[in-house]
Amino acid sequence: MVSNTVWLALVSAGVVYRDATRQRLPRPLAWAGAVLIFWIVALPCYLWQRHRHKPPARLL
Amino acid sequence: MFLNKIPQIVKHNFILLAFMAAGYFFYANPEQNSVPTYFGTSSDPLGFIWFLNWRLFAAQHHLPFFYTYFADAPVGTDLAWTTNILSLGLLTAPLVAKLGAFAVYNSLMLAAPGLACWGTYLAGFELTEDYPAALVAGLVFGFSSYMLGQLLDHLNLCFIFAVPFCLWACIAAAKHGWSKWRLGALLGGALAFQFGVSQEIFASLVMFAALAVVAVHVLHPAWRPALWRLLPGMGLGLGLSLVLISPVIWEMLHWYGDAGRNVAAAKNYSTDLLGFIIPTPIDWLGGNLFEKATILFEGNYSEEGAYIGLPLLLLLARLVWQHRSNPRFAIPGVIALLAAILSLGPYAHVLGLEISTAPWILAFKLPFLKSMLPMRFMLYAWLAIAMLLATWLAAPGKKYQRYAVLAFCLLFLAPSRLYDRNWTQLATPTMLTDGTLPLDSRILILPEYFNEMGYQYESSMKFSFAAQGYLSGGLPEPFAEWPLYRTIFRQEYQPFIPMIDPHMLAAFLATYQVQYVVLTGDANEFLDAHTQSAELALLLQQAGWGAVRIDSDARLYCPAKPQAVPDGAQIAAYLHEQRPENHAREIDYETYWVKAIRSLASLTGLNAQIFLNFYVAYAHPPLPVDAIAGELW
Repeated sequence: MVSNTVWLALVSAGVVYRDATRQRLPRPLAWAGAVLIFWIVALPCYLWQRHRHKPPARLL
Repeated sequence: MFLNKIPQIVKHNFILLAFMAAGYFFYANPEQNSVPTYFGTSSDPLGFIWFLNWRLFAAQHHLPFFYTYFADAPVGTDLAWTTNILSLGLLTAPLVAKLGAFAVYNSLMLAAPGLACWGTYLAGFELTEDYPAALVAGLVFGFSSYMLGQLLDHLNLCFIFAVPFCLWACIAAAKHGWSKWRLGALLGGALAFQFGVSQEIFASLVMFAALAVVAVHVLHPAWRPALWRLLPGMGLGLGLSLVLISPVIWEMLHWYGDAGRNVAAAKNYSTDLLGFIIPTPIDWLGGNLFEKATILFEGNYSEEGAYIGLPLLLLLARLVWQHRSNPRFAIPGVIALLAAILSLGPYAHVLGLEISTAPWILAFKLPFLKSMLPMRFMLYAWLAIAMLLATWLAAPGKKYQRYAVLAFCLLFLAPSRLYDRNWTQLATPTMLTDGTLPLDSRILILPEYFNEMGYQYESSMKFSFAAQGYLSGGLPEPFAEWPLYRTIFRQEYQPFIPMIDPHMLAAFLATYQVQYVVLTGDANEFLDAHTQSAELALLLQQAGWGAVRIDSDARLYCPAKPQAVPDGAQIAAYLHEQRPENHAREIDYETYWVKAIRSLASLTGLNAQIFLNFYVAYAHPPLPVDAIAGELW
């Protein structure tokens, strides 16, 4: 049975991949993979990177 | 050349003696005991004592090294996927014969921190050529949180001299240009020895060595040629060790199915995110203050090797960041960080609460890797930290300030005096050692589940255990399939002992041809009807077993008349019955619902019987609802 933590990581990775692709950020798949395997560190890093590279935009 | 090195060799040996003396004086038993006493807090050391003795006993009696019928009889149990400390058992067999397994076990535990210090000191000295810096590195590793924790119970996990020794060999080979054969021979011997102490540490050592090679290759291109020169020797060492340990590997592959049963889940032995900064009761400063928080961490205190302390953590972060362009700081820093992240396991926890996935999620279901417990990766983090600190202390400049800062940081890692002198006495029931039991009899000791291997060793292996024997973590098959199995052994299931069918117990004992049952407990425990021993005594009487000897510390039971061995259909019927604790839980659940229905009917003025009939018709409760009295509210 997949735990809630894994579901959360999967959904976050999906959102990050979609957002990174739409924002044309480099290596969207790598970011999604990083969020999938270490959500608590990779997601804040992604948000920080996103903010640094692009003007703030809607995440969803 | 060799003569020039003699003063250095003498110094190294003197330092080894100093480290060993430090370990001894810190941990040695302050009391002289007449009863067998072992270094450790739980019953795990009794398993190691049994294994130390087993090598000698098996050789003397021409028994297999990796299978025994002395536990879990009549099925027996394989020993390949257990913490069988083969190397230590073989090397110390003459000492075990002369001094006994208790004395040898205690000596090995007392030697473990000193040897770990010395191995790290050698690696640190080879790296820095600075005696004080290498000494501090040795002390940091040998008395790290990892070592302090594992010294509570686990000989296989604290006798890790070979890990820093392998690092020393690699550094020395790179520095002095050793041939691949010399490095291969040293690494091969060390790795084979380490495999015999702990297969898990061997596997994680190989994994972290590979990660270290990648880290050096990526972070320091200038060292790549030296790294390429080392790789053949390292490969040769690994190959040689695999050849030496091939019989054990063959046994492990043969019994691969036991790997899942005997090894705990990685998820339950993962470092807590707060574990790096919150001290546990093993630590002197603040350990007891945070006990309410640290008790929530996964695993147990002997596995909490992650505590680095906030001051040392800040110092390390500053050092690595400040010297990030220097590979001597960057490489150990990256390895320590990597080991710490992997030690989080498949899921990151905060105070035991799962909050995120973690990188080990990629590996924790893979064959062999699933048998490694992530918390123990902190061993490599501590080794990297020791090397980093040695490099920093040996660097040019004012040194006394650095030593002062480090001493302040290490103050937070000082071990607690409440937890360091962990000596436990084993009180073996007299009837097990005085020759009452015939040779080779098959017995069951209740309600013991952890101490029995110590009793067996103390009785000179004169009896075997039926359906019992704590040599590995999991419940033994096929005995655990019996619904009563957990209930008769485990204290947490004591309330359900009266629910056990005595016929089932009689059938269980007859199926496994148990000749004697020993019930441990003093006279007061048997007088109080609500103790585990008294309830089991009553159950045995109901099952047709009578007490034939009553001592102050135990009672011996035999069947009053020859027991009929149940046939396959009867056994299958018993195995299909519900476990007492599950049955009790179901009754609690039903009681709650019946009382709730009555309460609701009473509050609303409706007829409760209509709702109860509906409940009986559709919920099929295990008890008649009339047997349940009262209302909930």
